[in-house]
Amino acid sequence: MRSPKILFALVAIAMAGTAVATLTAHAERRMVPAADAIRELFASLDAATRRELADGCTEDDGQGGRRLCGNSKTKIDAMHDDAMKAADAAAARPPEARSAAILAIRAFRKNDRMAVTYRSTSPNPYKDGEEKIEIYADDQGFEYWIDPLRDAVVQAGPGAGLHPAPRKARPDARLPVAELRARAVALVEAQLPGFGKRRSSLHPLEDHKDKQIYFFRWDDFSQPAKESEMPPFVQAAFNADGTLASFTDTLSR
Amino acid sequence: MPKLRILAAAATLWAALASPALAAGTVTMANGGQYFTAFGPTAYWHYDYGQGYCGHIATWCSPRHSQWTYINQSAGDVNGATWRNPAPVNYPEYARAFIPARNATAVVKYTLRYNNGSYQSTYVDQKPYYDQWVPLNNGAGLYLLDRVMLGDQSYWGYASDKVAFDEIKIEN
Repeated sequence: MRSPKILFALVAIAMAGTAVATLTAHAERRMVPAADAIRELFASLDAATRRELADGCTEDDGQGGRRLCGNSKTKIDAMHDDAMKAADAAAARPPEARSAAILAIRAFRKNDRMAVTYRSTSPNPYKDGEEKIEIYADDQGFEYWIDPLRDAVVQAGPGAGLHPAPRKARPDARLPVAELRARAVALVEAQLPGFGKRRSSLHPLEDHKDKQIYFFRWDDFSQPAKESEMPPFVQAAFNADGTLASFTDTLSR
Repeated sequence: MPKLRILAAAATLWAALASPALAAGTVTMANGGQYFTAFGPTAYWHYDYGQGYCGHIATWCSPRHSQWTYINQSAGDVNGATWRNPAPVNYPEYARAFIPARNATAVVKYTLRYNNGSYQSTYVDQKPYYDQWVPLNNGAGLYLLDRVMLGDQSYWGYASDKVAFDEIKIEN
């Protein structure tokens, strides 16, 4: 599969004047272009990693190789995080432009006080080409993918985390499937204006996993998808007790 | 041991021509494909033909199945797999797992190897997802992300929970 993504240097140049300001003070003092500053960070990271792997604290990684440990690990992890943040800052929208995304997430969860944290900007795995998503997280372990062009939720669900949070509905808290379906339709209608008119042209699917999570999905098979993309779909998944399990919308453009 | 087959996965390296330090692109690695190795007793592996990303969504890749095993609730992985990125790049990279509709109900640990010897392990609950891509990075991108590992050990849920192994996509 080939899906070229935009080169960050082009983004950085296009965003010059905003993104550059978020780079390290080191970069600002020297007035180097954002791409060069990030390249320097990557080069420093490469050199430091090589040094620490050669002379620092390493241990068997259980995979036939070595991994860093102790102070070497701490040092390289910090350099890595700094470099990733700088690269992200060069590709991301400025923070003030992301406020609408945070409002969209709060509206989606119907919680206007929910703590939402920006994490990064990355390629959209549902699209070929250069489309991006912004990744946000709340304080309950949910991760949100936002289309920055529309400030709309592309996907929401449990994020990859350090602490898993599986759940199982108490028997007395279970809702009828009809009620879960109604909640799914209501959520999709709220997220996709005009869904009601479009619904009859979509392919509906309902399923569950272990009768714990119920999936309500509508696929658009009206046009062939690009080779490496999935047919557009919208899906709402609810736990048996009616709480949201996940949501995805690749139908909206 | 599952039969290993060549997958038509490719890395897009066009950007490297313009800038040696900055490649851009997407690599999709199929379970059972060229960049996938699995371990564990053959009897514990189960295959869902016609399921998963290559199984019934993407027409360009193979093999056309997902695979799964029951979780192991004692120490260590009995069955597991590694997807190796053939073209890690000097840029923040993001790993996503395709969670198939069936036989994906466990909370499992994915381990990402990056920057020539750093590791990030994260837990992912496969159950809330259904034929879709889910995040594996815990937060920001990872530099030179060259490997994703998944095992069957899980201390959460039930012994009847199933961990699915399907396509992994790495993007930057």
